[in-house]
Amino acid sequence: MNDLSSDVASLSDDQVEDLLSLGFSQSDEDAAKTTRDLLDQATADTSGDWLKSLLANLDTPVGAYCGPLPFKWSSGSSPADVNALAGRTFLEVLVSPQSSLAVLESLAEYGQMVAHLPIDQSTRFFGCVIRGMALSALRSRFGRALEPADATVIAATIDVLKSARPGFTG
Amino acid sequence: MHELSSEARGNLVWTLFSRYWKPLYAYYRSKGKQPHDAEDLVQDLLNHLAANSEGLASCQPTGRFRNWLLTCAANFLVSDVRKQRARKRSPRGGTLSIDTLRSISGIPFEPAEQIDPDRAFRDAWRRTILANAIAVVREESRQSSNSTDFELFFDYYIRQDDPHPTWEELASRYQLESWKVAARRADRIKTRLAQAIRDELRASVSSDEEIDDELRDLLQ
Repeated sequence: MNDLSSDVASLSDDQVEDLLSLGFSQSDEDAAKTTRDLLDQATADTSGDWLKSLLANLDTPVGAYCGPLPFKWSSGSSPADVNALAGRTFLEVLVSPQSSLAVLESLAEYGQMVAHLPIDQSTRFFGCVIRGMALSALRSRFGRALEPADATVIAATIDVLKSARPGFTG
Repeated sequence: MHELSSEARGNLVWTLFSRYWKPLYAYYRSKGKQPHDAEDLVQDLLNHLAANSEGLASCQPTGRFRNWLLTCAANFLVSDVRKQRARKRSPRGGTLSIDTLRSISGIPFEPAEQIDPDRAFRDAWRRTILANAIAVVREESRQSSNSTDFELFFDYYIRQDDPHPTWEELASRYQLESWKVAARRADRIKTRLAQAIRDELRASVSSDEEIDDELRDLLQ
């Protein structure tokens, strides 16, 4: 028997938690439902097209800043191309049962970083949306307790998305 | 009371040692025991539990076995039982030694200095669960002649190579058409690992409903 124990012993605490968190009971439907519910509640659009559209219309190639997620673009890509690819990747991460605790946490941190960039308001708004969705997924899938401020982010995300929904009258 | 057969008792001894010796070892090391003393304590405690295996095997545990075992470990340090050197009273079915287990399952996790003993126990426990689950999945992959999926998973998520390979490099290493194919094949193993982790956790809780709670507790 090869020594798996020494390999596992060499993992960081975060890596161990990331892999163990796979064991939470969750069907494909459960995983997708969290994000779809949020999208539906906020945008009446479970396909995620609204989010992808939001990203694709940003002037900043904001998707390029998200290092932990496995998507790649060619060096000649336009900001819109980079963001469109990022939008698809973000949605895959948010709805996939394979998404780990660490990936969702990375996405939440990424959203927070973007929300505080000294750039245009639309891009910062996108950061808030991504953070809110990632936090929501962390709460429902992994039982992650949220700080009061995080719960506020989720509620605010839904409110802001609702207000941005075409035809929304408040 | 129902008495265990010699074979059943031997199996129980084996199960106790192979599953739980590392968390107990980490606990005693964090209590300040030297490696040899920690090994003796683990050996004595587990052989004592096995020697009293009728009660252990017939009880219907409530709550988590992990917490119960941790309490046993703490009590054993100060109990008269230890002073009687339980290993001298060999249970039928035989005793096991740490050396035997070390030869098949490697060196245990050595806790960092000054780590809290309870935390050391929990950390070693969750690494044991993870290692056991990965071993199950690896064996299944071998038997199904699908070891490339496991190797992709292992190289990307477990092996601590420096520099860490990218999916593109792994696709090239295993002669796959693209990085996406490599990532997707490793994901199959993650899916199987998820179930294997739950199977491992099921062994230490009293109902399936407690598995998520146990996992959540381990991840705190």
